[in-house]
Amino acid sequence: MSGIRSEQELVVGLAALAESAAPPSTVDAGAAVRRGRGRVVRRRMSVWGAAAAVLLVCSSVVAGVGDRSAAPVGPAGPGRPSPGVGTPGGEEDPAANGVPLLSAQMEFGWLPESVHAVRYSYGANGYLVQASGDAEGGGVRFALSVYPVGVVPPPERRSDGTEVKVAAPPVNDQVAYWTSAESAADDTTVLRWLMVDGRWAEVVSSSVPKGQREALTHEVAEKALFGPMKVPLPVRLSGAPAAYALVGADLLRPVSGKGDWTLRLTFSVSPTQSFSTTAVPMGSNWLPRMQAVPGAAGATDPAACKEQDGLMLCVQTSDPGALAAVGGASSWLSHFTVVGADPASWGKPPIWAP
Amino acid sequence: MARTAGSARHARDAEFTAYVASRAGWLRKVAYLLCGDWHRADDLVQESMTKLYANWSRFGRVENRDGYARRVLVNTYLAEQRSPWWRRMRTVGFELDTDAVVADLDASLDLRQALASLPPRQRAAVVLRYYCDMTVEQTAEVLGCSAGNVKSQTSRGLEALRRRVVPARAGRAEA
Repeated sequence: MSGIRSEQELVVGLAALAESAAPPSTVDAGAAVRRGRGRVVRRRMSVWGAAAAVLLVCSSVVAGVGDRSAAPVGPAGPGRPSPGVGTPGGEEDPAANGVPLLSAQMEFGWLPESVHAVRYSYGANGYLVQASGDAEGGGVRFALSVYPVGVVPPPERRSDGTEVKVAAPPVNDQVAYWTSAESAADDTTVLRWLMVDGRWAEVVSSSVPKGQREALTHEVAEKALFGPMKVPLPVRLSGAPAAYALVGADLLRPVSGKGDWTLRLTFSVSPTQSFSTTAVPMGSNWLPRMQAVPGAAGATDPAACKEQDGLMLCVQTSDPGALAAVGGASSWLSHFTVVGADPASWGKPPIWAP
Repeated sequence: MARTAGSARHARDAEFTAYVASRAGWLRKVAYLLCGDWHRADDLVQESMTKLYANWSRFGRVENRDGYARRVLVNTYLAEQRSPWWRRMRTVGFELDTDAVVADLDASLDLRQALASLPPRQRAAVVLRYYCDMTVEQTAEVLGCSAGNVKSQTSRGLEALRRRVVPARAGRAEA
């Protein structure tokens, strides 16, 4: 394509872009059924609940004894005590005895108790570290980011174009400001501060109870850590061909305990070939669908999976030729060593753990 | 009675699963053109499919199911763009991972970057008109706006793509 000079060239260009090399799809009809069914149930419950509430109020009014005893749902309790701030390092990370599969440029040093999962991602959009209230990445959320040296992020603007920049209490004795656009529909709080190395850092929070937004966001900022650090993983990889470039990694894990977690690693083999390797604990809600449903696509080939030490490891690819250099999926999976199904066994525990 | 409800649910699930199997790939491509990231495209399709399942009885009465599914996808994408969280996530200073785009051909990369620079509704209008081959009126229905608005959005989008794709390539050739 020699540029976009005509509408026809755009049609051709878009079609080519849509057909470009893509990682295996993770769209899961079964998950849509489970979540969709849950939404239907909640919708029905809320309808019945509302009807019941109307009936209750009506009957209370009739009886002249309106119920005033129901306590409102209060904000979440105070966060757990800070584990303290420190620089990661020291202890040997058993997951690091191979290719470093996932690193992070920033890390939470403290999180409130309402957070139950943390996600580390690396890919085309760079690094992302997020904390979320539920195991699937929803609910209360915090995200950490840092701007490159020399980049001064402009403050947010209101819909009328005016800047939002309100002085905030210093973060680690450094200048800080809030830049959250204020609107009824906007529950996002943005705190930005200058770090000692001259870079600007940012915590963005969402869905935090109104009375705690600034306090919790500030606390997360105060305890945040920045700098390259390895993310403890359930597997390690060794002996992979150099041509297999890791182009994406995504780990969603519980803050503490043995809850569900999922790891996806995406490798590029050539400009047109890529594949993913996923690891989940046995019994997880995120186990790949092995059994082909009549008429359905997307089931993972059982031959491309391996159960080992409490983990299910699977390879997903739309091009089996992508694994030819290592002798196929089974051979590729033999390059992985399981560290453990329990996040506590993955190595030095993350500093935000209790 | 319970068996009847159970078999009806089973039939609905089977019908839904078959629909996902046959259309997820196509919707994923549309989602990718809208958001420019395959993983996020998966998330958009997954969320759209969940919405479709939750409203399957209404979906079953729709004459143009694919059009309805595409509309749900576009609305999911646009709603996400309006969400302050996603707006923030797109604008934070993540460094672009050059290794990650190794799979892109030059021309596709140019176009992908140029598309990414368009405002969300302009981008949706361009994708619906020039990838989904929809008429101005059909696009207006999906986006919930007037035909005139679609014309101006696509015109501005096309002009921006013309400006951005050619200079980017010329700049690289000179380097």
